[in-house]
Amino acid sequence: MKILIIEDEPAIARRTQRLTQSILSEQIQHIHICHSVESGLAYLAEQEIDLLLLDLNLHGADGFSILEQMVAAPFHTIVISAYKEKAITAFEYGVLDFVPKPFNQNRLAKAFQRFQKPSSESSTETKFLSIQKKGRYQMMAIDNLLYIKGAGIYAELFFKDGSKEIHNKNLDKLSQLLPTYFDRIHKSYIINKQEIEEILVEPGSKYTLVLKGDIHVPISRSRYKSLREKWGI
Amino acid sequence: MKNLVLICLLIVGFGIPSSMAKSGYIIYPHERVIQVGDNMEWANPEFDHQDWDPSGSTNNVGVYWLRFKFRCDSITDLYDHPGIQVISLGAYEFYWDSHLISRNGIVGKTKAEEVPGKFLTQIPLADSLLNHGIHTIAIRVSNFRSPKINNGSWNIFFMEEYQQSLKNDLILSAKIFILAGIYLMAALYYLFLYILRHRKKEVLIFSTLCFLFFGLIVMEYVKFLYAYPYHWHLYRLWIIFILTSLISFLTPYFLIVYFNISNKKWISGGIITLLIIATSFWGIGTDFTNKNLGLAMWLSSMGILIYSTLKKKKEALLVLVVFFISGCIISFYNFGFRSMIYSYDISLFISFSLLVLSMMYLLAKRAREQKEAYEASLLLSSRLQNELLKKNIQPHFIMNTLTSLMSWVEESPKESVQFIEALSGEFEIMSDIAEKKLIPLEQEIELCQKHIQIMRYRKEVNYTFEVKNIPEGEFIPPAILHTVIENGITHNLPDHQNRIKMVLHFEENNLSKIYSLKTYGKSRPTTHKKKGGTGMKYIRSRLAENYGDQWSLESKATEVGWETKIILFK
Repeated sequence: MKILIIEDEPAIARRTQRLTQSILSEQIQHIHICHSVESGLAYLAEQEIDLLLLDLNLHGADGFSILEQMVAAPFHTIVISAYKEKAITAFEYGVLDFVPKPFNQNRLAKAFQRFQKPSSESSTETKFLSIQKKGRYQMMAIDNLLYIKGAGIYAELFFKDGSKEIHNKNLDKLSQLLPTYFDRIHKSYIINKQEIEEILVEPGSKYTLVLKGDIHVPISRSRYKSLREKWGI
Repeated sequence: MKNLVLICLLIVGFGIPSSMAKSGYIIYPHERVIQVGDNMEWANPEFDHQDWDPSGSTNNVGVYWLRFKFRCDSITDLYDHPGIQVISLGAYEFYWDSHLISRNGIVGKTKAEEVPGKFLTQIPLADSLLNHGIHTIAIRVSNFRSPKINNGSWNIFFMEEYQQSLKNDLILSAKIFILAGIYLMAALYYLFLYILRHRKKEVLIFSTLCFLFFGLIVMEYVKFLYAYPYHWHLYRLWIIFILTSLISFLTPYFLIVYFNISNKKWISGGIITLLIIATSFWGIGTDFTNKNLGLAMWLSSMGILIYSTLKKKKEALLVLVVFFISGCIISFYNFGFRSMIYSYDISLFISFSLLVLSMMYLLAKRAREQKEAYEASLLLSSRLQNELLKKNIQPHFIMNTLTSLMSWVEESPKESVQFIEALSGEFEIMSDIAEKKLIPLEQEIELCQKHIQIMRYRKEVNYTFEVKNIPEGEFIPPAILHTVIENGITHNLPDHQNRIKMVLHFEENNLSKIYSLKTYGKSRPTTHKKKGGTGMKYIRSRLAENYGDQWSLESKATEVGWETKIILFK
């Protein structure tokens, strides 16, 4: 697991590093510290990471435009910030967790737990997915999503209006961020429950979910049972 | 004759002073002749006065006679009890067809012998004197007490019901004195307002104007209330002239002050010159001079108002309209119906009252504005106080500092103690200065030093703060340099030796005091784009609170980093 810490106060960065090491110990392959957003971006351009611990001045627009950029990336972002009142907005942007300053080891450990859980069972507040498009970042409203199809290291987002976008996170990472009205119905599909029309059971135990607009998405056999229980059908 | 006073707006108009138009029968314009000297024979109707001076008045001091013929006919029969009102600048004996029917004072051959008579007198005429036909009236006058200035003597006669004109005058005076009472009250009210609340020049000027106008009305009408000796008359006219001059100056001056016209001295000088010119055409104390003063006042006021309106000053247009209407009223009564309907004096007073009302409106408006500004300033002050307090308890400062401190405690308890000391030091100064509008410069510098110490622990950058050429005894608004330092820390990256140097420099010249704070470091390219962040807004509000608009704030990138300049004009 490769971790980057962006924190402009050296003492805090060192402490974050110490605590992270003591929580995750062997799982860590590498921890790197950058003391400014600029140097952090330069590092990210060269290196791949799994998790970003980001201290951000969220006062004003600048902080959030940097956040837009970070959450569009393949890795997860955990914000560590003194701007507690901005936590809700940060969650809406799709950060994995928001750790308010000052923090202790337990709080940080909780954040890492979220990182390690395959998908989010607790509800998340994410409202937008940030998409990189022609070098710019665009915040797409999640409730316009119909379904998501995994495509290796990235995912394809299908919207109600028929448009399609590419997200740099894979399906596993996205499922950790999505709210509870999304469900994984297949290795390669996540759907918006609110958009279900019907389930077709076809001969040979073939299950197909029909979404509004007559869009057919396969349900995997192994998941069908548990989904039926969960949805009460 | 009446002098009128005043003021104002008289545009012109040299007619017969209107107040002469009484409902009675004016005897004045009849062929009257005058002869300096003294001869009791001149009372005799048989005497032929063909070679006497027909001008009807004299500049001579001493004894003179005045004669004229008067026809009694069906018109004079209309009176039940006729009488004559005499206005005279001299003691007199009144002969009707050689009968002495009245005397006013004692006519003397020398000043010592003379007992001055009243200025205004009433003579009853017995029916037996008024047979139809021509009568000869001869008046023997002595005017030894006529003031030397503007000397001269004149007499005016009105025929009417006995004492009727006196009654009319008293009724008019009573009405006018109601107006005078209002002016007195307004004067006192604004005087108290000036003393107790608004120490504003325009309030004092307005109060003075009301006092002057009250005085003017009293002086103008006192002749009907108190029968003073004839030689006081010119003194009264002088007082009226002085009051008129003062009003004629203060009215436009009020507007200059109110509308805050620049070059006050030059314009005031111009108005005074105009008033002097207005005085130079006719004698002091004459109606014509007072009218000219009024005209000068009106013209200069209109000039100021037109200028103010063009400059888009608040309320200027409204007052301009009121002044214009006042001018119209005066000229209408002066030209149009002359004073057939209303006395010209009264139109003057009405017009001036309009002006006074408009000035009162201006003051009330200004008082409201001041109250609002005062409330806004209170609000601003408490808001700034809050902001100052918030500066050091807002999350990004205190939470980051505490998080950093946690690390220091784990890593090096000894240094964390020093960190805590610096932090408590900054908090202590902050709570000291929180409620102040200005603090000693030394205290502000100490605050900056504490802050730099804290930031040294937090950012682990070698910040230095140098102070150059700082004088003693200077005061500045709290935490403004502190804010500049904060900005310097946020917006700059340390050099390759991990240093950021900040230098505070003070400079003073004839016009201003300049605080300049230079930060030597690499400026962050992204953060400088936005101007006027919360820090700069705080500085601007604090400067405006203390120095009005007498300051400027410059903040710009330099070759070596960043420079912020605070300039306070003297």
